[in-house]
Amino acid sequence: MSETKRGRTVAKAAAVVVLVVVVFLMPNILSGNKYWLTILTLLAINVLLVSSLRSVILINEISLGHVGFALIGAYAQALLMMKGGLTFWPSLILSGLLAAAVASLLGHPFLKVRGIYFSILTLLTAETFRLVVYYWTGLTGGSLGLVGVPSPEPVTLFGRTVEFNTVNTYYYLAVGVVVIALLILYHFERAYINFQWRAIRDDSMLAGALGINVVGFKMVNFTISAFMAGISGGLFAAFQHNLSPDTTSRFGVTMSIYLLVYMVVGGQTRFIGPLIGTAVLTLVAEATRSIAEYQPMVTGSIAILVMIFLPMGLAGIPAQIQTWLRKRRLRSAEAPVGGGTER
Amino acid sequence: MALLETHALSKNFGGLAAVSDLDLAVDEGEILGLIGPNGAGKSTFLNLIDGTLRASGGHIVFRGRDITRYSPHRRAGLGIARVFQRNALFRSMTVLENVLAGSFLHTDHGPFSVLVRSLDHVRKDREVMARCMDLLTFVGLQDKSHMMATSLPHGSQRELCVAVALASDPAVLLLDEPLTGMNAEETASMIEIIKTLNREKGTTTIVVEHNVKAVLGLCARAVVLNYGQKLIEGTPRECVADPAVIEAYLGADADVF
Ligand SMILES: Nc1ncnc2c1ncn2[C@@H]1O[C@H](COP(=O)(O)OP(=O)(O)OP(=O)(O)O)[C@@H](O)[C@H]1O
Ligand SMILES: [Mg+2]
Repeated sequence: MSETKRGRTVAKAAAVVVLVVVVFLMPNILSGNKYWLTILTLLAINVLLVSSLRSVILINEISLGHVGFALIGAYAQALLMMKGGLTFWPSLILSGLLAAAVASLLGHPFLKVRGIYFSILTLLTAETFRLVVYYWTGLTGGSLGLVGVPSPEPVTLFGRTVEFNTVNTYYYLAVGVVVIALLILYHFERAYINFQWRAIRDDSMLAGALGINVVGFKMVNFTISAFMAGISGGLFAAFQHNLSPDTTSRFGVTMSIYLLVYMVVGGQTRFIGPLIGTAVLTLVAEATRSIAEYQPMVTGSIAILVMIFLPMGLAGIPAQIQTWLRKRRLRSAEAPVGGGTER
Repeated sequence: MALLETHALSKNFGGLAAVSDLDLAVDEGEILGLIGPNGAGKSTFLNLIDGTLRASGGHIVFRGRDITRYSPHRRAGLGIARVFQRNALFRSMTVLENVLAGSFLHTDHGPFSVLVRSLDHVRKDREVMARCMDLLTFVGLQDKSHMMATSLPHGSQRELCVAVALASDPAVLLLDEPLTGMNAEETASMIEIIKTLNREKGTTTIVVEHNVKAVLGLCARAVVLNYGQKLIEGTPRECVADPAVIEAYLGADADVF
C-alpha cells in the first residue's frame, strides 16, 4: 500500500518537473511563434481565473461573477498605469486589492443567500460592473474601449535588461505570477484550514455549532478568490494593451459560462482541474478554428460527454481507472470462489 | 446563579409561536429533561440556545452574559455544544476526522490562519489527535475511527454526534433526542455516556427526549413544553403524573407512557 503511495508521489514529482521544464522552454520549443505564445499566455491568465472560481466551490457556492472581479482588476490596472502614473507591479497588487475590497463589501449580503440565489446575485453584479464601465465613458472610454495600456516596465537582471513588451517575455511574467498565485490558492485550500472548508461544505449548520465562524470563512474565501480574479484581470490588461466592456468581451456573461465549463470539464474536485480543463478546451478551440461558428457546439459536446462519463472531470481520470481496476480485480477474485463449491 | 437562563424567550415562524415567553433556568452541573409532544418547540428552543435560530424576543443569559445576539460560533466558543435531532455529521470525513473537526476550538485556526503555518500548529495537532482518540474510546467507537462517518449504523452515528459535540469540551451540552431509533443496548450505553460525563466532568446537560423512562432515569428535574410554553416543571415523576401533561400528550404521543 505504502509502496504504491510512494510510487505515486514519485510519479507526481516527475510530472511536475517535466511540466516546469516544458513550460520554461516553451518559447524555445515554439521557436518564438507569437501566435502560440499569445494563446499560452492567455491560457495561463485564464487558468488563474478558473482556479479562483473553483476556490468558491470550497464553500459550496457557484460564482457567476468572477468576470466582474477580473474586469475591476483589468480596468484598475489600466487606469492606474495610464492615469495614476503607477508602474506595473504596484498597479497589479492594487488591482487585486481593489477587487478584493469590492468582494469583501459585497460578501456580507451575498453570502447570506445560497445556491442559485448566490449565483444570480454574482451574475447580476458582474453585469452591473460591466455596464458601469460601459457608460462611464469619461474614465473608461466606454464602448470604444480603453486603448494603450502600457507594458510592464523593463527590469535589469544580472546586468541584462529584460523588456516585457514582447509576448516572448510577457509569457514568462504571466506564467510566473500565475504560478505564485496558484501556490497561494493551493496553500489556502490544503494547508491548515482544510478541515474547516470541508466542514463548511459538508454541513455549514453543524460547522457553526462547533465553533467555526462560517460567515467569516466564507468572506475570507470570497475575498481571496476575488483578489486572484483581479490579478488575472490586471495581467490581461497589460498583455492585451486594450480593454473593451462589450458583451462579447471576456467580461461578458458568455465568458462566465465558459469559465464554468472549463472548471467542470477539468474537474472541480481537484486543484489541478481548472488547469487541465482550460488547457484542453483552449487547445480544442484552436484545433477547430476553421469551423469557428460551430465551436460552441464542439465545446458543449465535450462538456456533455465529460459530465456523463467522467463525473469527476478530466482530472478524475486516474481515480476512475483505479476504481475500475479494483472492481475488476474484485470480480476476478470472487469468480473462482463462486465456481468452486467443493466444501 | 443559574448557568443558563432564558427570560421571556420567544420565536415566531410567521404567525406560529414555536416558543413563547419561556422562562427557564438551568443550574450548573444538572441534567435537565425537556419533554413535550411533537411540535411543542423543543428543538426550536435548543436552536435558540445554540444560536442556530435568532430569537424573536426575550433574552438568553449564559454565565451572567447576555448572548441573545451572539452568532452560533461565538456561543460554541463560550462552551455551548449541540447534538442535532438528525444525525448531523460531515459526510466527506471519517469518524476520527469528524471528531477532529469538532475540536476546532482547541486549535485556534481562524479564517486568517490561511496565512500562517507554524510548528506550534503541528504540535497542537498531535495533542488534539490524542484527545480525539480518547473521546472515541469514551463513546466506544475507537475501532471504527477510520470508517467513513456516514457508513456507520444509526446508533453509532448518534454516539459519534455526541463525541463530535464533546470535542470542544463544552460547559453545556444540548442533546436533541439522543435515543431516537436506538435499540435497548445502544440506549443503555448512551445513557451511561451522558451520566458519566455529568458525573466526571460536571457537564451541564439539557436532554430533549421522548423516551420517558430514560428521562426518569437521567434527570432530577424536567420541564414539559406544549405549544411553545412551559406546561409544568418539576421532578420527572411529577411531570409525567400531571393531568395537564397527560392531556397534552393524548393522541399525539400517548405510546410513551
Ligand atoms: N424553520 C421553521 N420554519 C417554520 N416553522 C418551523 C420551523 N422549525 C420549526 N417549526 C415549527 O415550529 C413548531 C415547533 O417545532 P420543533 O421542531 O421545535 O418541535 P419539537 O418539539 O422539536 O418536535 P419533535 O418532537 O417532533 O422534534 C412546529 O410546529 C414546527 O412545524
Ligand atoms: Mg425536535
